[in-house]
Amino acid sequence: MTKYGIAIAQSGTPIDRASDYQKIIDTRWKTASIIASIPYRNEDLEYGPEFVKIFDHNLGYIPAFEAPFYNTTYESQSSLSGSYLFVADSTSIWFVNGVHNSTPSASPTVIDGVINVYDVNIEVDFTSTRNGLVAAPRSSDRGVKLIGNGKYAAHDANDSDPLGFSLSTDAKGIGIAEIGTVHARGGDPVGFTVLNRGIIRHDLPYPPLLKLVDSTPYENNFLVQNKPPSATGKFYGPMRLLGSSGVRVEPGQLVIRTGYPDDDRYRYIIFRDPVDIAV
Amino acid sequence: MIGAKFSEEGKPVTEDKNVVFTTEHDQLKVNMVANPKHLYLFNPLPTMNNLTAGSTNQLVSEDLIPPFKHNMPFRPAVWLYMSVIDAPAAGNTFIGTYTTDFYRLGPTLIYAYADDTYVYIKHDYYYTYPPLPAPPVDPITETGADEYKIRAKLLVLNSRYVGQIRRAAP
Repeated sequence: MTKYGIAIAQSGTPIDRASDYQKIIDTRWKTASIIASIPYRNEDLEYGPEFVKIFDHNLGYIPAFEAPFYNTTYESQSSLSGSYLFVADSTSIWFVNGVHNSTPSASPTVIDGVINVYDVNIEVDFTSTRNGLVAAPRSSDRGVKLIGNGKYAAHDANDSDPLGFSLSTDAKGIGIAEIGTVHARGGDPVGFTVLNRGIIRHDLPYPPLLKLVDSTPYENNFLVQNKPPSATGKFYGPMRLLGSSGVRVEPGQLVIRTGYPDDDRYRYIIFRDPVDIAV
Repeated sequence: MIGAKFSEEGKPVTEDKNVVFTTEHDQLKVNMVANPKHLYLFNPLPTMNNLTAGSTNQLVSEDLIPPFKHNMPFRPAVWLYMSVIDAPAAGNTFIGTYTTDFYRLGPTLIYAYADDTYVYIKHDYYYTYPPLPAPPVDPITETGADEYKIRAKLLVLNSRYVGQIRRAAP
């Protein structure tokens, strides 16, 4: 744990005794920086499979990313999760053509969205240390804003939106509490049973923000037979959460259910509410 | 260059792997002093109405909350986390379940999205039975939607979402 950085507490709170919720910023909080934000539109999806490189992130590890999009042809809500249409490996983000078109279609499929890539290595486990979790009223008008690196020159320090400030204490980061693997055993398509439960335990006093990431080893899957042409062959899908009945909230834990008989199917990220909230 | 970068103690800040905080990139964050607010807790969400479609395959929709201005100079990403805390008998398997982006409860759908100006939480009803080529059934009214109680957390993020999210009518 680093001993150096910046921490700013609310007015009247000694910084050496401030809990996280009493701080406006602490550079020791692990958050997700947006490495790239790439608009994406494809007006002519065709029957696949085909891997199309979107861009090289060149991070040297496989990053967590999101790829929300809207499928204007199929009007499918499931497409909102971005599942399977994009994958990341250690160098690039790929678009996986043909996944949602299991058969050739006479009408073109159009998707429209954005790919956000974060500086989070999805293969490395992480557990945060936290310091206080009880929300309290914000009591300070003091803080710091650093205008971004020339990209948003029109900004001045009185602007209210956080975009364009490389640092703004008006906003709080989505903290990262944990990164790990959940063993979602699957096999029973109905309900939550002992056989099919995958359990993610946490010590947050609220149901946390959860994102799951499909990992490489799922078997008999389209992507296993159709890997992107990367050097290692390891790749992951975007961050998402299962559909309407895939996750259950229980005290101190989240329970994952999947109909697939796979183990180690998901990596997961538990996010902290903006860092445990100081409103 | 304007900003700051911090590395782990005793490690050079020039290597990215050592950096624990940098202002070089925007972090995923929520404006905590925005007005209207960018972070909401609903316990529960306002009650849904049972919507009536003119015929099968017709989409009908209502706002679950009054749309509010996000005051961002772009279309922001929105995270909506929802958990069913009570449901009609036909939907009791959903109680306790947890999801984001959209909640599909049979033909009932709940989701959030933002356009260039507003943030919305919508309730859609899209009844697709009987499948074609059976003749349309009309009109048809949703049942039990008004009996769901859903706890929700809405975050308006600083990250861009340029795509159109809302499902259009077929």
